[in-house]
Amino acid sequence: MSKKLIDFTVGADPEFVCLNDRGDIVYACDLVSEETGTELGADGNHKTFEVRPAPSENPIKLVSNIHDIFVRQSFEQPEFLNLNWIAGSYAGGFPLGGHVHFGVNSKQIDHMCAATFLDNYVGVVSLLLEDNEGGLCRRYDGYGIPTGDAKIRAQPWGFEYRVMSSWLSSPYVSAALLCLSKVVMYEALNNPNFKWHKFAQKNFFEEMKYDRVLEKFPKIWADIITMKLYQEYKPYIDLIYFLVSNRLTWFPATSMKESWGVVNMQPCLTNKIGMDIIWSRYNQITA
Amino acid sequence: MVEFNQNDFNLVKISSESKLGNLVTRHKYRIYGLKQEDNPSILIEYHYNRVEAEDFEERIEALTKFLKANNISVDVCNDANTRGIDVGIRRDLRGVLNKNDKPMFASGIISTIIYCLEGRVDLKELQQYKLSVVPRLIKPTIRAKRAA
Repeated sequence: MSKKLIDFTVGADPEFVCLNDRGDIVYACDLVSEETGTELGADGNHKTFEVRPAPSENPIKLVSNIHDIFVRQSFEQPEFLNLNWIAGSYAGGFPLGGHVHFGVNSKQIDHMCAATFLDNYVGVVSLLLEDNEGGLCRRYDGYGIPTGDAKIRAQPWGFEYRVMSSWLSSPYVSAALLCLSKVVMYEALNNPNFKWHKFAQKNFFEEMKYDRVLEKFPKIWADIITMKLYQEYKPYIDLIYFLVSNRLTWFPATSMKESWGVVNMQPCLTNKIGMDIIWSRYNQITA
Repeated sequence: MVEFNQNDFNLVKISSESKLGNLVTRHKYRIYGLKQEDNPSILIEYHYNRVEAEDFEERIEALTKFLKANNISVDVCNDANTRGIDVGIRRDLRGVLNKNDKPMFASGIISTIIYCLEGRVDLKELQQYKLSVVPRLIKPTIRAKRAA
């Protein structure tokens, strides 16, 4: 009899900062609640914003949940639209994390072991997308290193993988890294025969050794594309290959706010629509 | 943000015909299936404290009048334990197909509800509007029960 496949939810609480038109940081606690239950809140340092979307088994749905939060926030507080949103490794003097949450318990897989698989396929790949200077600043502050509390934190619902910097710069990059996280964790849970390789080394992260990781990238990618769920999320994950091959970072050419499509949507909310338009297709066919 | 329950009869097709998937809305809507027995054709649930719009109650009232004027039964619950607005659509209403086998009736009803509650339909126009053809739907016998 075949073993039942284990599925799991993926969640996240990525961070970003907002700058005003003079380039000064706008404190998150001045704009949003510091309570942990809100979907967009202030991080513990009171300065960075943290998005807390509802988790989902589908990482694309998670990206959609993040988008919905941005849209709702912009309706409720249109002043958000006047600010410059910035994700990445380090901005406005603060390190930014892109923590990913996995709804798997320690009976299903040892959390530290799972996080090590993630280091070798998700953590190292994310290094290739970061900007070097910001990455170094974040690591200098003690974040984003694959050891101890900086790597993993146990939670009642599973565990939090804390190595990645904030991948929130665009929905495409978010989808790529969340899908990759899902694929790697799914493989760890469901394929005992997978031949794992060790690509991550602590000093790669501490010293942002881009070239060393880049050398290993063809082998990392060769492993990724053999993973069971890869084909399902291929259209999203392949962006990583494109960015790395072209030596691009995860920052889009446009701003983060624009890349998420969060612009002034007031006209979309207020434009009137006639009943004839709503019912035109029904009336045409039944008339 | 309009979410259709993917597992309920015909809702995937209705979602695709209604073109509401990417609609930008103030409120969060969840459209789900109501089972046939003992339910009204439509059940709208929300919590009066969590829905912020000046004239929301007025819109609900106008919507109810419109549906009743077109012989579509509706129940409204304004103290439901829900974050957004839940709209239940009974199975027979979801099953009404036009001659091209498309659920345009349910799609039109859901669009009307959402555009009305979003304040994008003129209330006067809504109250005066008569549907060209209304399919015969079963009358409920007792108050609504939730079901998938």
